[in-house]
Amino acid sequence: MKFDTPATTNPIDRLKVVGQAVDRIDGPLKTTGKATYAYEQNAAAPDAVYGYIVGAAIAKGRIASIDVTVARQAPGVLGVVTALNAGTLGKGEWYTARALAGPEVEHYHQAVAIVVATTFEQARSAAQLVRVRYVRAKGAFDLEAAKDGATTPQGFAHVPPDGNTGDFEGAFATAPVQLDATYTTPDQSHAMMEPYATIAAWDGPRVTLWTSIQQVSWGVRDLAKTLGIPKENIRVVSPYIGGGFGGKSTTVSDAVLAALAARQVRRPVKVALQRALVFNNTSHRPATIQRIRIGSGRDGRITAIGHESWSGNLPGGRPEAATIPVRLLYAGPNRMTRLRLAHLDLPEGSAMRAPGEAPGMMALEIAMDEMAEKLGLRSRRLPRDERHPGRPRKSPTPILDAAIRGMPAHRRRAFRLECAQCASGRAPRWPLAGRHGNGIGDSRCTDYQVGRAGLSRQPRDRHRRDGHDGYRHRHLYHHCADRRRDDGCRYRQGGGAAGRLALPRVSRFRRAAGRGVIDCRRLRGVRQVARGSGAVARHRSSQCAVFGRPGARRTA
Amino acid sequence: MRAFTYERAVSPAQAAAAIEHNPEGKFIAGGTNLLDLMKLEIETPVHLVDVNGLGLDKIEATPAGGLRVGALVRNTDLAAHPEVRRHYALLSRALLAGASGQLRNKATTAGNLLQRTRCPYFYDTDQPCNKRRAGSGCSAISGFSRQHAVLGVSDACIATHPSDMAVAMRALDAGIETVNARGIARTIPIADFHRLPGDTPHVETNLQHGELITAITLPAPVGGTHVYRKVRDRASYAFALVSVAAIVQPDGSGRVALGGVAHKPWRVEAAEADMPRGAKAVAARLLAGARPTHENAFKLVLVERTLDAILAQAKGGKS
Repeated sequence: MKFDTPATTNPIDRLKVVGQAVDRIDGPLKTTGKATYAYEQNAAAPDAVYGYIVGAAIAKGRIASIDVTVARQAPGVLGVVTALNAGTLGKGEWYTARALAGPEVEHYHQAVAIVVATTFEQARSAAQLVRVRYVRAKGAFDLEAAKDGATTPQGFAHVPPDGNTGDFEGAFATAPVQLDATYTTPDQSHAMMEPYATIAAWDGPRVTLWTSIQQVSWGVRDLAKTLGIPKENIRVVSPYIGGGFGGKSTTVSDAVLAALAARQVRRPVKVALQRALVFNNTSHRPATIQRIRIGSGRDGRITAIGHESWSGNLPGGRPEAATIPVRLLYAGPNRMTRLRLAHLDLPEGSAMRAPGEAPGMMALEIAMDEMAEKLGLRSRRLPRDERHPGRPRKSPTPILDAAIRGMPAHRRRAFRLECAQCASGRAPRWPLAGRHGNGIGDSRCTDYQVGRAGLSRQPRDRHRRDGHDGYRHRHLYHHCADRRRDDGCRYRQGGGAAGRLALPRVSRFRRAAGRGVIDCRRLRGVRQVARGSGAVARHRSSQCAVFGRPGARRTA
Repeated sequence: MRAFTYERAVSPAQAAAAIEHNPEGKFIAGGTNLLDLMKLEIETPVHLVDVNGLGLDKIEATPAGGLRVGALVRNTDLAAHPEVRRHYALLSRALLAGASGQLRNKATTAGNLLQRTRCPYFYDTDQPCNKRRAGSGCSAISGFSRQHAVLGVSDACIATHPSDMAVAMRALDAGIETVNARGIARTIPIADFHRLPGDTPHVETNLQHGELITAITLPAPVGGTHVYRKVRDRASYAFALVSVAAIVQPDGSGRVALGGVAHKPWRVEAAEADMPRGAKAVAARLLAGARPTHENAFKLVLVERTLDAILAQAKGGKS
């Protein structure tokens, strides 16, 4: 999403539903434990059996042999899937690490097998009986050591690896005040409260997955590519997500192996990635080494700013794009950004809560603090302040300015509250403990993040006229485009839909959507209250099961 | 988890006998640590003797003016007991610094003493670990050792004892009462209870096989200001990088014990003579002979600074 044009009024700005105090639809369900997370979809997939994943015991190398004879004979065991019997697997578009190792092992705890048994305990116990012989290979695990061999990452168009404006080297060399600092961030993992979990069930050539995933449509796409089956044969249902934080962007081993296992044992199979595997079987935020150079005049005006960042990944993996913030936030006529990517055999580095931005912003803002200290500034002032060593009045990358312009007043107000520093000039202060003088620790990190999140939290939707089911009506497709935390997704989606359907009053929406019933009943409710506008809310199966079951029809 | 048999003990001596005759048996009380380890097959007992019904859950005064805490007293109840809060605040504070509310509700006093290390290599059954499989090697010494011990380490093991409670008990000079299969009772001073790893890191205490802890005794209160300071990567639900338990008397004398730095709660009584001279002097003697790795050398500095903060806090009269 690019925010380079003014945001304008949309139906939600009527504030009939969104902006009103409406109880969350999912609130009572979650607080009473009735919300059905992926692993709990027992009603939808009865008689599921249990899968338990075996992670690779080496960090790099090859599987010499896998002996499942003993495991296969353990009590309750129904099947064992390994690379030997899984068939040919493809790879999705987002992750580069494969969901199932064999014969090559790309990283520690990459899945080498899934054991399926009648009970979870049987599967877990039998998993200990899978005998894997490995041939270890020497791997690279240290970014500092691999840094010199890093190359320019290719094929990640969203962040150009190199950025050059003006003459950075020349301007920096002649700047009266200079900062040249290197910062490092470690590898970081996220282990969300709901582990990666899936129930998979086949019906002939079609497979349904109840899973915990952020981008449902990515999941369908990537699973289709991995299994080599048409997207049309895959249905992904994900009404809730118990935390994703980037890690559940699309399908990983739990979904792929649940599907493979269910196909082998001809029963629905449920898999929750065991906690120990969440760290290395999935993706994480890779370590970075960042060098930041800032040159300014004695007045604090930046004349040169350079940000270089090194990270590592498996072949085909993406860089941690730590240079994003400097590209977006700070001006300076002479600018340089560089991303370099080293080969490391660690588990895949990928999106984790503000990919690139979090470590990049951290380093950049510390550098700005250190620069402010060098300049003897008591406080880093705000972007529009001429004394500030930041961007001048006219930003070359005016994302926030553009986005704010043209917003309806109420939204601008809300935005300013959230994004106080950049939009309104009232800076939240984050004093750093002791070392810095009062005010020098002002951070711009949060406002940038919140600013973007505030904008992107609007659900995407589109209207389409369609008559294929015999009715002439408007369909409302509400994408649940991205859910990192499940911060009331169902409520937001419902509220957004109601707002767009121009429901007259909140009370009606609440009656329709807030009863704690789901699926068709709520769908019917929305239709009912929307009758005045002649609209019907429908739900597309491959998107988000916010409103109900696919194929639900208008009912009397 | 391996299959196991299970019985409920009817008396402490009978429980001890049931284990003594079963080399691969274990007692189970709260189960907050043992069950997790069994699920991962780090512990694989073939027989469990449940001691929860033995009535060892009383806290009572001793003739010596101290307290006798039953082995089965839950951590929550011990931390909340009025006598403990009044006279052994150190213990209450240490208990509340550990685990979570749910775990403390279940975990017992004796179980807390017997909990196993949280060394990640001990938990990863794909990795060598001398504590888990004697003679297989130590992965931590050349691996990630930020959490690990800096004192009393050996070439076989650098794991720490994870308990907070035990650190306070060490400073309080607790005694551990036990009974064996023949009904013979003894009291082990806590200083002699846990072992250093040496060549046998899998042997963690000086309990005999089948010997059952029945109670922990606390000597008469010593007064002073009680401070337990736990420094960790998260503010809650994390094991200590370093913890310091201190009892500081108005004249500046006192006691200090450390957690998170060794295979056992760490106390050097001789170092306490330097308490009035300040943290630097005490830390120097407490940490004598330390053998940190390149990843956990910071603990030496952290101990001194934490102790310094505690002494300042105690001097200020805040407990």
